[in-house]
Amino acid sequence: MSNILKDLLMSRIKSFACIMTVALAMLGFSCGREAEEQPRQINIVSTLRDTGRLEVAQMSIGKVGMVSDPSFRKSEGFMAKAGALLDKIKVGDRIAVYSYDTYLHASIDLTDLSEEDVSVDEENKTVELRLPPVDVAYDGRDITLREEHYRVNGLRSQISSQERAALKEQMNTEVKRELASDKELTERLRNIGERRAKIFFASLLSDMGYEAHISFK
Amino acid sequence: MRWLYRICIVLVLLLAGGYIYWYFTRPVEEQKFETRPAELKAIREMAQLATLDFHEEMTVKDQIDGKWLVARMTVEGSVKYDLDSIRFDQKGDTVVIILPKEKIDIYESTDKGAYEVLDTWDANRPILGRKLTAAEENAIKERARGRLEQTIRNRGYVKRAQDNARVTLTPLLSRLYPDTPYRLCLSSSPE
Repeated sequence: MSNILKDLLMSRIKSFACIMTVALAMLGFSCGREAEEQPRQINIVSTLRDTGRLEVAQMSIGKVGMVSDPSFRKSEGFMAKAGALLDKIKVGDRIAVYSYDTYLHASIDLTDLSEEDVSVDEENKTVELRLPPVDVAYDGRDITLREEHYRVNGLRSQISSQERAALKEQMNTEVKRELASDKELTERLRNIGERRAKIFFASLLSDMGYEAHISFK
Repeated sequence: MRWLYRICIVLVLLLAGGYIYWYFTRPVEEQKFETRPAELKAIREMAQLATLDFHEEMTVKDQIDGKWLVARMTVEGSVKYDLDSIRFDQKGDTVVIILPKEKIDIYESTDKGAYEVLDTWDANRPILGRKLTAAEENAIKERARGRLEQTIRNRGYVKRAQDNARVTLTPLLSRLYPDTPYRLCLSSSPE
């Protein structure tokens, strides 16, 4: 009986030793492999577009989002509530607040401006200028993410890059939806753009010695 | 009694197996984060002539303190000239219009999936590795932006933008100076 137990114990020890050897070998291999890594940046797709756009105003829109444990009351569905309950009993807190800005511009496409749109009266020193309509479009968003608040303690895991990317993606979708549903901000930008365009061209033509009369097509 | 015991075990195993199957095959819901409504921060008036737009999709692989990040980024930007800084000069009978040095604006695209983290790892600690902080990740992204700006200059995009500026401004200038010779110069151009 004792021999059977001894054999069983020896076989268990051998199995454990094999597993540890393989694990350590994999660890060593991965360490060696990562030592060869070099920073790289590869441009996959590059697109160029010739343009002649006069940007007359830019608007920045701020958005704030939070990474935190979901609220049990706000969770919907059995799995979500179970997950929220599990987070409640974890040791420690996990809260981070991030923000970034999205930019829009108001612009005039000067490639739509032809010589027929510019009428010069040399005698009276006046210029009639018909500008293309002001268009509002997205410039883009901040490349970085501002960390407004970060508190992770106890046995909780740190906020990962994947979570920040997912948060930014959700905030981006919401910003575009909010701007699409409420036109007040974009119209305000358009009106400011029209005013600025008139001021700019009036000033430019005044420097050249002309009085400008500016309208939009 | 023994049969009842066996039936109960089989039922429990079936329930557990069914739950495991459902857990791994259920549709993955996107994680929902708490956010605040978007707010207007500022409106800035300007007069910038954008003559070249570019759209770049790139993969970035970089590290800080042994913490690696591999990500796919989509960026958009433009080469612009600040027309508020335009200057006029007279050289003999020729009017010289001087545009300021170009500015290259680079933003992350607002398209869906413009920034995707593909992999992160800690080369110094294969087990229980450290995660990249937001500041470190921002630094990596800023380095990528700097490299992209240099690439744009090296590829000759700026020369193309300068040529576009001349083409764009010619209709207006030729009407304003029909009989006076004029020359459009760029302050960053050798001539």
